[in-house]
Amino acid sequence: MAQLELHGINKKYGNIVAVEDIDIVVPDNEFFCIFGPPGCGKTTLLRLWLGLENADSGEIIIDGQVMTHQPPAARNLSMVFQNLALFPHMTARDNLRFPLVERKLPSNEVDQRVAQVAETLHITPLLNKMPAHLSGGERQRVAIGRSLVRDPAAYLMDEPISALDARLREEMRVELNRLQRELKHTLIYVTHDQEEAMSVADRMCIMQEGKVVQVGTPGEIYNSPATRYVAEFVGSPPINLIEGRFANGTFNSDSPSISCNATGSSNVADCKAFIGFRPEDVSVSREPTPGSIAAEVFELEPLGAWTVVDIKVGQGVVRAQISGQPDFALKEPVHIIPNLERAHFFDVDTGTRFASGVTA
Amino acid sequence: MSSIELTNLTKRFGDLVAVNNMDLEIKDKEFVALLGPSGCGKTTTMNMIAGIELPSDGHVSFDGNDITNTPMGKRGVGFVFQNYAIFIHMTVYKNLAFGLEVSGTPRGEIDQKVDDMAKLMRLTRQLDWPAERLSVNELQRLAIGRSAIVRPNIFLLDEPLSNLDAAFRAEMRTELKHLQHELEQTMVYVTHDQLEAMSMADRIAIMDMGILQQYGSPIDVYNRPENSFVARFIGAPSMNLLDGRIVGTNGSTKLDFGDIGNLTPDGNDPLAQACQNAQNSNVLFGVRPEDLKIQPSGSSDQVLSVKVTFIELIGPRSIIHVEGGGHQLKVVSDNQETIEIGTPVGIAPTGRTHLFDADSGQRVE
Repeated sequence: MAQLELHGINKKYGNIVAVEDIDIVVPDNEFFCIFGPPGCGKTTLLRLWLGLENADSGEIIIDGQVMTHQPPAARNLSMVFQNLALFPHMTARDNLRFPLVERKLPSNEVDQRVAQVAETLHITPLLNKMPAHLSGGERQRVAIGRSLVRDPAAYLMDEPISALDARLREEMRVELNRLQRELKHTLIYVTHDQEEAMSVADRMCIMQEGKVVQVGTPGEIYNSPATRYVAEFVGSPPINLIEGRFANGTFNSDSPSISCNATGSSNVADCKAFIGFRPEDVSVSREPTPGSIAAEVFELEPLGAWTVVDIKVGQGVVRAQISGQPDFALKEPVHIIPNLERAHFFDVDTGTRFASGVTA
Repeated sequence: MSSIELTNLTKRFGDLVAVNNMDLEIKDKEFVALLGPSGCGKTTTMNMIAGIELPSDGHVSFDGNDITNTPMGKRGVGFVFQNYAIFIHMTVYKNLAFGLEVSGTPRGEIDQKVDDMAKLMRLTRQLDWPAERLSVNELQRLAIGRSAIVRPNIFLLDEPLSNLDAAFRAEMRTELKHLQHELEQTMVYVTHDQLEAMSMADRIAIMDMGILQQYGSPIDVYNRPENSFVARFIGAPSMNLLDGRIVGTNGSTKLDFGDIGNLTPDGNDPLAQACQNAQNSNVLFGVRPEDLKIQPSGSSDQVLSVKVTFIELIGPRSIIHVEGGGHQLKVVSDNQETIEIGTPVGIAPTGRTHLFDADSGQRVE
């Protein structure tokens, strides 16, 4: 029940910049994801919010109050760490009770709160079990439950499901989203998995080497990546990037040979540029069609619902993602057409996107 | 060249049967994934192929020769573990050259092979670096390169990608598959991640509780799972499995799902025959999320009525979660859908469907 803010935050460890010029405002009741590769500073942001680290400069505001120099306890935030630390000698119930008993809450209130959280997390039947007798997913639920029994200003989670296996992660991310909607609390969630981030977040930010590069809804970030870095990191399989030259509103590349007019780019200075188009925007056919590029199938990944086809075009490889199970063979000659209406153009030197889409 | 054959392979640890009477043949140059949840027996199976564990019963043969009792060092297998064992103080060159030096390969040949492998693993620039300077991703490539360089007849990999971050895992999947095409070695790959198995393997052996559940190409196991375990394990998001009952008699059978309605399969649909064969029994009806389509609300004999509970937008696709009458299902759409939560909708199968016996879990056709 709180808005969480970071303003002008900087943090160094010795000479190493951990995070730089961070401005983030997470409104009340939002599911906000911090996404980035390992070492980009995302966990540092959580630790700064929690008060486990002190910022070198900047301001931390929780629920309208400046908390920059307040100890962790005063900030009233609840945290789930990646390594689920349950007390092994206590039942699931006692693990859940612990944070409340610690705060000397009356026993009937503790019982009521534990029952309520257990119900929300569907772990009521597990309450009398010891952690050793729970599966990985069950233990994770209890660990999450332990952070939920309190009524904090907001919840922070650091890769809470990344240690679980793929199937369980798929279920848990839906659970987490449901949970956040039911609890009606602000939730800040750190992950390095782009699919997980897109699935759970109302809004997300993407970090690169200590800086926030883009903030937006998953849809905005996927459809309009601010930089080449964002375009590459969000979306799987990753976006195709082909290097070429941009001059007088026209993009040209050699291998594969692409020539097109970038929409709304008349004021953009000439530069080395990438054209980026996503694998699902590449169509592959056996017969040539007007404007198609001759190519050869290089690698096939049949994934059932769709198929990823790596296609050799000249010296480069273009990746296509096709619905269903097309029966292409390795080394088969094919023809590809990228749908450039949804292409993006990035400056090679600065990495920023300067145009999207093409005009005839 | 090396094929592998497992016959009646069994491994017991005390009362626990880790691998139960397993038969499997792996062809020369084939890429086979052993796939299953933790504790299913996949690593134990691999350890018996490597010679790290001895079977309690049964045999392991390479190229038709029984090697069940041959010590590990004489089997000619290369191994890459989840936790790569790299000599961290040695250079990348030294790490790559190590196996060749041990086997007394002439220096000139070592240099050539190290150069080739470094190129393949994209480590040329790092050859003179101490291994400790490498990133996690480079270390993993080094671990694979170091085992691959001695050209073992059989290459065994135990969850080599599970410590990596998601983006790099995706990249390595493609690289490993490509590597196998280049090296033309028999590869056995242990994983719990169906995506890795689907994307890389020629064939997948799916295991559960020590028992081989199904063995086939990725598309075979995806399109025709032999039981409900395989159906659930392969594919993401996972297949919808609905509890239902087949009612009606010859010629007019239908699948009854209680409050959300029923489905009457079209006469030409293989499902009609399956329903015919399982009259009056409880079944699990399986349909993959991409083989369902959302329709305006309303029920008929082809449409089930449910409510939207949640939508995940993942890039170009949406996973629409729906529920009704105690059933929960997922529908995948190739569009960025914007249906409001709580909206009543209809869902109808548009593609392949599956039927499993409710008790045994076996496929019914």
